[in-house]
Amino acid sequence: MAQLGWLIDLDKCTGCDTCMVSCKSENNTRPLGSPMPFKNGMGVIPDHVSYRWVVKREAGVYPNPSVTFVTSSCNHCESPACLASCPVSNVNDPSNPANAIFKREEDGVVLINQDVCIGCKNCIQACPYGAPQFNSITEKVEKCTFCMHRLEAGLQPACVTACVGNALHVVENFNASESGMNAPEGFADPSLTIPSVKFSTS
Amino acid sequence: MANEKKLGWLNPSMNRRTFLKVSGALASAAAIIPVFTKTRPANAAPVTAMLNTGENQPDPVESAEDIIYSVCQMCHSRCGVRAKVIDGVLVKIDGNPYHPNNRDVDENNDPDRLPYSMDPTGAYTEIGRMCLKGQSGIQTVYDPYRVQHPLKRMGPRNSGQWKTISWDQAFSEIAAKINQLIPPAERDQLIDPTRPELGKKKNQLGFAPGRSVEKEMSERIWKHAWGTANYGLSHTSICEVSRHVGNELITWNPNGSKNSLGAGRTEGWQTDILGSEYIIFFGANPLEADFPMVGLARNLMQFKRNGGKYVSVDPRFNNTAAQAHQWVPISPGTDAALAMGIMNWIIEHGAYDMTYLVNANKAAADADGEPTWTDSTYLVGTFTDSEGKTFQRYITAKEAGIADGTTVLDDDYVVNAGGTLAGYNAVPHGNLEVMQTVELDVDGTATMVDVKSSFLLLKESALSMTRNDYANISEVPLTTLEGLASEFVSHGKKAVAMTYRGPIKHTNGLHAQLAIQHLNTLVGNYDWKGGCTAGGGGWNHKSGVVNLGKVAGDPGHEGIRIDRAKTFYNAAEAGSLFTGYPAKRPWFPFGTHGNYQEVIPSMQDGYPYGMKALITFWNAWPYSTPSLRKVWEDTVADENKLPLLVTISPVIGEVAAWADYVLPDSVYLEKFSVPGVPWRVNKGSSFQRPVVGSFDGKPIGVSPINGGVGNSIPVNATNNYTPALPDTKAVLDIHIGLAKALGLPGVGDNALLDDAGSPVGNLHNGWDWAKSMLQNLASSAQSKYPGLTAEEILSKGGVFDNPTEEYTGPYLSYQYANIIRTFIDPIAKTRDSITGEYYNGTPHYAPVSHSDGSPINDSGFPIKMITYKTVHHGQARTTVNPWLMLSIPENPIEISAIDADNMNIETGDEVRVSSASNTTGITGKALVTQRLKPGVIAISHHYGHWEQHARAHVVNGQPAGHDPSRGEGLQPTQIMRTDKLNPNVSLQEPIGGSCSFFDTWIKVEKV
Repeated sequence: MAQLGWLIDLDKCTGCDTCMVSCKSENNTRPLGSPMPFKNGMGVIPDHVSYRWVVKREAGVYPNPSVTFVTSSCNHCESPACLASCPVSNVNDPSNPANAIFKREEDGVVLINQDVCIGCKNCIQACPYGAPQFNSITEKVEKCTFCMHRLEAGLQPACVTACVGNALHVVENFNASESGMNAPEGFADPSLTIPSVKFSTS
Repeated sequence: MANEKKLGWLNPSMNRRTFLKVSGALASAAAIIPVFTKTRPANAAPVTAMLNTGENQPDPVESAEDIIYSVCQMCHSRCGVRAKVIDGVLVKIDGNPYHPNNRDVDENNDPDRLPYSMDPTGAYTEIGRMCLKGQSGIQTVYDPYRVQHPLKRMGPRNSGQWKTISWDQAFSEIAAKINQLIPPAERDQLIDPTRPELGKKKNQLGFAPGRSVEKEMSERIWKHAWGTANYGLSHTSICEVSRHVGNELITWNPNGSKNSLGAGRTEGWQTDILGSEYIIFFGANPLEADFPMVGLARNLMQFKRNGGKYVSVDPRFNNTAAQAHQWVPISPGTDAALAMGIMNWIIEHGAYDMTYLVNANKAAADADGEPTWTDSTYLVGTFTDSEGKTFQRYITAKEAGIADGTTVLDDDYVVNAGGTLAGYNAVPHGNLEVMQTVELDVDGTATMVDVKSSFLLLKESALSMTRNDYANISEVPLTTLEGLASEFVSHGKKAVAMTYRGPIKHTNGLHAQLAIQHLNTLVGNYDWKGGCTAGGGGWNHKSGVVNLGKVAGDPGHEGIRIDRAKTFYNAAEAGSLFTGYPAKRPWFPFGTHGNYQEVIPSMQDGYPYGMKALITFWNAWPYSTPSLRKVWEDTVADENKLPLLVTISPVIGEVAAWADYVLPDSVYLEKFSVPGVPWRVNKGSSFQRPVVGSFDGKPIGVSPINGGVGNSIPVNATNNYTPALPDTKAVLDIHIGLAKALGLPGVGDNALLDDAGSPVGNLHNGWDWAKSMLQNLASSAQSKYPGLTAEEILSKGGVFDNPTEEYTGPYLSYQYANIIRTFIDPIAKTRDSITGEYYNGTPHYAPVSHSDGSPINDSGFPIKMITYKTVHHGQARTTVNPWLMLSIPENPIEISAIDADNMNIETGDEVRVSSASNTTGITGKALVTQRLKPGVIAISHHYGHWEQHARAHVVNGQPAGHDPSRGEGLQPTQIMRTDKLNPNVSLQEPIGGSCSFFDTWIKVEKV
């Protein structure tokens, strides 16, 4: 199995949020248009589902502040906690398409099937990375699909093609021993789920 | 919204995804690529053909016919757009792989931009980079609150009451009103027969495009057909105009035609980032703003990969600073001090390129393999005028008695070559540091004149303060200042100092531009790989086959502009308006791009005259312009001060809310233009065309088999364009409609003329115009691309050079190749209209001040406020895009942790910021941050809208849809500092006319 994964060049990310928006446009995640929906109906936090987002991690003290931009999405883990926590998935048969959450045998991509998901939100609790997101309209959970529909046509995921800094890359045969390599401070312990992501810092 | 019953894609519950899923326009299930069918193993359990992984399906995968190339306008970068349009619906926006903004080299520095010859049917799988703003253009098209029909005001201005009317009614009523205000028989009569300098009554109609990439059409109609001097009151002075003007002065051509003293050869320098090794950005934020952000940001990250180092000089630790090798927090308004300090070090250490600076002319430069040369050796004299005031200017060969009519002409500059005065063209080199007294024949009188070389003036200015002084003023540590200097001169020609708005939008902004730009002059990096570029330019879309500016019956235009730009304040040019010093309002002879912030206050004062009608386009005057809102509201509420306001806008923005008529134009993905390519080392002309809507009733993006025009445009069809909202119009068609209703020349049958003035076509619609531009481009680029056709240009989104053509050996291929002036003669000969003092023609640091030169002393307001552009937004227009509002739904008041501690403020506290110009102030939420120099508060632009459908207007008696979240946050322009002498205008830079955005002292209080 040639696991698909991510290589993120932290030194080249411009922190622009383009990956977030390109993904939204490609995958038609909410909100599609005006008016802006808000969580709990209060005009504070937009109620959106975004499979990719950028963490802006600030550190340091003036005059030496720092900001690390960390683009984050589903890491299509070797041992996905979402799958393990899902009551309508069989953790011992991870690639079974009857699961709500299943991991494809051919490339290790982890997918949530809306037609099986019961919206219990266990996976949201379990995932160390925040990948699964609850959709308040469908009352199901969605997440990054690695743009399977693009890959199958020989194209790259929308986040990768749009990336302004050329910082986000697909790794076609991700080596699990590199899981979490050069991860920024605060990144979850990779031994928990063996995420298919590695970083570069120069 | 006008017709809630009208279902269709604009009903918010019928969004474009729903439309795609349920519409009968989807011919077959094959249009939706099933997911997970291709690679499923044969023996797997059967699954449904489509796996639902989310609320909606992802976009279908494209085929070649789904791709349409155009140009983005979510900011002003004008990147190439690769629009994916499926069955007439725009589903995705990416970058054009032919366009240098969107692609150039990959991580290995190998070219990845498509060669222009590549066939687009094979190119459709190539995707250029496109930032989040560009991606969100879909929401600009499908904004449910867009105005759907022309609106006529009901009730008083700004009462938010409208009725819809037809275009015919709109055009005829507007024309009738204009003809009533300025009757055709009176258009050519003088506004004031006793003061002919004001010009004719037709000057009292103005066209005010905040932004227009259809300048050729608006000038054709309002300058060449109607004939007003106020044909283009555009936004540039609230953008970066003093940078433009500074660069124009550095490249000044006395034979140019912007004013009676000439014009500049280029307005813009940009960095050849990919070729460079070391860059100091002064107040430039290419990872978030600047333009083209997509190109600059990508290049800057590749520059890092290649081992380059860059520095960010800015009071705020923005994204560019976050990825920089060094952040230099600086006190706002003191960038010139830092630059002069660096210059001081470089000159003291002799670390400038002497060989470059002593070249007196082009031949000498050529001999040294230098594309450019400078005025460093030209002699500047100090003269006394008839009032006893001293001023400086270049001395001439005739005055020096050395003109011979052959090798030395009368007007030639004079150098001192080894002790002897010589004409600048007669010798290769001059002495660099010259100070002497010479006898000159000044208007027939023998006069002893002190002269110095331009370089000596520069040196004296740099050394007029110590580096310690400069460090103290800029609040940059001396070691940092000296470190920047020594690093800057250790990269040969591959070091660049580059500005954007940070140093410029201050009252001292022009000289800041000169000071910083001339760091490049000291190392002579112009036109070198890794140095400064004036931009590769493009091909000619304005003439060749059709001359866009030629109008039979052009009535001419003359007289002083309402903003008094491009006219000198003296008896000769201002006539009776010249009343000594101070002038009633400032004049801007070097305001080559106009003065936007002066228009409304000038109308309020009726100086130089009153206006009768304004037609605005892409204009957010009271919102975007510092401290204009109250003046705008007072002036525009008075129908005597402005009898007619017509606004061309797709939404009801802050200007449209006050209009008598709102003419809804289509958005940028629904029109034709040649928007230009920003200063890149590549050469290119991008072509903007509609990607949705229909031509002659045939939908774009629907295949011809199904009755559409697909992704091409049949060049010989009429191509009447209907935007996606069928009762809106592209702006080209609005101009044509207004011109026809007014009976103006330049439109209609046989209106298009060739360069010789012979009729070559009709001008009835936007396609007639677009076709003309395409024909001109094809003709202009024939020598490079023989056989180039309009169809090919359309199919690739423009004409572009090929990868690797931007460099020729160690040089840039597209060169400025002319003089660089360190002494600015035209301004040194000009007196400021307020102070009466001659401008200083040499780069130097001067503190910010009011227009009368007095310091800004606002006691009780101890903190400096700056504003900035965030990567998520483009100017005023993007709070309509929910995807762009997600990250920052409401902009905060950013306070440094040290200041916040002193003020006992925490993140989330509601605070008020106010200034001496607005003591009521504005309120918002505090964000305490380490990313800011103490003593400075930052509030981004873009937010705090009070219109743009943040509030409900009433159309035909029904409340229109609105979204209050579009009005979240606060807009710092509301409290920016006004000028002491003319308090109805903001502080401004007097020479270029830049509106000040960063010179406001404020106080902060917890609410």
